Amino acid sequence: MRLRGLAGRLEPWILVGVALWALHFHLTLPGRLATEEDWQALAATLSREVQPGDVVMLHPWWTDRARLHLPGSVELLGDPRAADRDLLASPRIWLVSQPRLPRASTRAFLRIFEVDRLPEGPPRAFGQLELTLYRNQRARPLRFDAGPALPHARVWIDDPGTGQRVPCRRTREGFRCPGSPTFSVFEGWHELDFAPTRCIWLPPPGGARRLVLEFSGLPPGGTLHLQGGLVGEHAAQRGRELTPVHFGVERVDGTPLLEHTLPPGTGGQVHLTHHQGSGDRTLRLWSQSDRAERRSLCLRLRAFGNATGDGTPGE
Amino acid sequence: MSETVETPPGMGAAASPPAASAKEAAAAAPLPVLDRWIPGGLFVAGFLILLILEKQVGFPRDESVYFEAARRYGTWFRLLFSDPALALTDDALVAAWRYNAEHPPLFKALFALSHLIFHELLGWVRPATAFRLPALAASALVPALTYRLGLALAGRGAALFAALSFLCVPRQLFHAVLACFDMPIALMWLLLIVVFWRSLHSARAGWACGVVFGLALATKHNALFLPFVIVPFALSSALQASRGVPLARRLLLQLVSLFALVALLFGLTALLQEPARFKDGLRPISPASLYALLLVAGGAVLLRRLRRASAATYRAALPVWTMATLGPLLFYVLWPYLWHQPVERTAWFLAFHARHEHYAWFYLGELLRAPPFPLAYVVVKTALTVPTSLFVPMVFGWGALAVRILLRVLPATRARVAPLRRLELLVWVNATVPLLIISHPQVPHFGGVKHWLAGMPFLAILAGVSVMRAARALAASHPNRRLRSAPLAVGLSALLLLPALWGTLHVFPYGTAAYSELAGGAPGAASLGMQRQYWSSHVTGVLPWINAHAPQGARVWLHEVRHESFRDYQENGMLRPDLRPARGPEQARIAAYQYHQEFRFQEMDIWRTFRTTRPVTGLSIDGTPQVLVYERE
Repeated sequence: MRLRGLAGRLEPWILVGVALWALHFHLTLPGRLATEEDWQALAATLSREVQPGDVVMLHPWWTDRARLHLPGSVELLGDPRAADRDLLASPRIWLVSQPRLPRASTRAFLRIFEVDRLPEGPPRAFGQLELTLYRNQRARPLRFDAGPALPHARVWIDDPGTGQRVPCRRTREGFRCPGSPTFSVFEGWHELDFAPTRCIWLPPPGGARRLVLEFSGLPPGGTLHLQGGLVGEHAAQRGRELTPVHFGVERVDGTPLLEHTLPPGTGGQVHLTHHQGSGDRTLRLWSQSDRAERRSLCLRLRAFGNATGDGTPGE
Repeated sequence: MSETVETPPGMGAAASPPAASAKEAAAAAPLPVLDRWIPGGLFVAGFLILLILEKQVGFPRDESVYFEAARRYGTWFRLLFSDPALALTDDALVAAWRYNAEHPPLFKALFALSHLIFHELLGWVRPATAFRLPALAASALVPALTYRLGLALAGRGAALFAALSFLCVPRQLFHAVLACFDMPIALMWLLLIVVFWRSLHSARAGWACGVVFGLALATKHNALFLPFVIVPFALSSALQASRGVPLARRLLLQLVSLFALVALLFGLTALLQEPARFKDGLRPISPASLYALLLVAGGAVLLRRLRRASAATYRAALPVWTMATLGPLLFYVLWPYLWHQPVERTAWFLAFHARHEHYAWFYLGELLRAPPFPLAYVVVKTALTVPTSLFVPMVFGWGALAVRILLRVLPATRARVAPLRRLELLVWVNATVPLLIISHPQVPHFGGVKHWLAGMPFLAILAGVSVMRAARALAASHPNRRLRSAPLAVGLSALLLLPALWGTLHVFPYGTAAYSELAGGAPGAASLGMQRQYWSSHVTGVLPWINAHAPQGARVWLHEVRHESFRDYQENGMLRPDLRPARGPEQARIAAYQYHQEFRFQEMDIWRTFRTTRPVTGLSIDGTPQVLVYERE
């Protein structure tokens, strides 16, 4: 019963303390938020200093309100898992941070983000916003990106049943394949595991047929990176009517270099790498699923050279 | 049956079980005038505040469905007056009442009548306000009834704190203005508990239990759980009342046996048959009807004899019988859709909720899509959405009783703890059960806190108990003994209510984005990975921009906003009438994307279609993006 006495004595003071703390929270919250002026000042600085290939990392990840203010030309990374992404193609990363926001957990964020990344000077303050330029030591020289190369690719549907190869028609956006009026191949923004990603829409045609994209003129050597998965909620859906999606990269003679199967409901993004020896100048990217419904596959195929070791892309 | 009253019907500061001691009888004396006026004042003030505030709140997805249902019911009411014979045919009933048959009709019918009277007939208010009036009244009754029950449990101070705090919870204030069923069923739950408590002293209230249960069943399916919180109390009260009266005890056991027998007969019939055959067998002339008749007639006879043997036992047992008989009867009578095919259509209604689909829901950084859901979800969500200055006294109030219950259960400590009053236990159980139901890992988890709103008035009362206890402790510990606890109670209550009210007004009318101080407000909740919003009503934050900037006749895609809501915004003067709804970004000139983690891919659909990743405007709450507006370049 001593415990009850203690609880009885503590209860009023805890209530008073909680009330005062809650009041303090409401009184101080406006001062912890970035204003329109803060955003405009930061955007003006960024517009002046941003270089091609730079990206902006948002902290906390959900502060995409930045899109209203920051230059449209620069890619913004604002998704729950952005901090630990390699960003191989980006030698410079601008960190736009709001460390005073409630539960911002900036230290925890920096512990992940600053691995192999060096700040180039102290953070610059714009009211409640902080801007820091980082050199990304994980960056590698980008030597091939299938997205921009898509207009020069050859696209067709392989039908192993008939042995036929049915070509897809070139359009302004990409390619239109026979079958359904919406069956097309194009590069664009899609959501993969909550992250906005520019990738190639590569829907499997259904049955044993494969959709094949052939890219020529790849540089020799380096590392192939295949990244992707099913788009949006399709990645998480389960059901007997859904079938696994197979995809991969192969040589012209059909030798597989990268291959993966996504069973229904597994979600997430897949990253596959292949170190090319002498390198293949022509490669094929393909997808297949027994049933095409809700198998919205989107892939990003890139080739990177080796780093110089000082954080700047070499070669 | 006439009313039998052993003790006065008022509920005093220590309302008691039937075997009333002198102290308890005194406590059950008629209420002071002030305590009779305060609930009325709370109702009127609450109703007026809600009426003023409701115009700011958008039309959530479900609400526009209920508006549409009410419109169809309204058409049927007109037909009933103009051609009753036609209105009563199954074709006419199905045409009007099948829409949204997954929810019972009582409040939709009230929305319909209110719309007919206050908008169409009198033209006093806009259509949406007319639909919402019954919901506003229902919501305003909750603080009033909370006061009555709180008064019975813990006195005026605790009751007032509980009543005032109820609408200082942002999500509760938001739900209070909607023509939906979450607040009405919270009212019905609370009303039934209040009436049930009164029934221990008044047979008339025992009959009212059946009526209120029927109204609750006709409001929302949550009512199906009400017998589980009523029957154990009724039976234990009846057992206690029949102690020392052998005839009453025997009749009570016969009554319980009758219920058990009928349940067994129904159960066996269902078990021994295919579900479809069992359902088909429920006809007017069938064994099932005989069982029901047995319950109604047998119960009536036994209760009549019980009343003569022991009025207190009769009063305690009566609610069980009235709920079992009047409840289903009213449910049927109040739902015209059931009139021609009660069994088939009730079975469909029940099956719908038994197999309710699961919507994606962002919770602590994880997108919940299917069961099993986290066991702690309800508690965590409550902690992160109820203002912390109200949540902590709720925890203290609930916890203190939980500890007492535990100590009373343990033989070693039983003697050292004062026994719980029946009302304390009743309030505690009802503060717990609505949260427990949704905590089950297989139950759909979406919709924020609205699915366990029924428990919140009881938690508010327990918070009031904690605050008053704290005020008394402060007064007792103060060196100046002349300091009385009343002013301290007022001061402490005001101190606790102030941040809650501040936060509520700050986030209003965007109630589904409200998060507590413990969560860190909306920005803290976003970092925690909680659902940013739901139901689409925050689109009202960007409608003024769209009205000002959209070209004449432009197609606008309001993501997540139903077609019916689009029409309602136009009909209520919130969206320009020349604008046309688009089904997706492909058709649209302007798109307003509502931030949902599970719908992020739809924002990318806009980026691709509009060829831009840059919004032109948006709605943010404390920096958290809620709605982003894109314009085709």
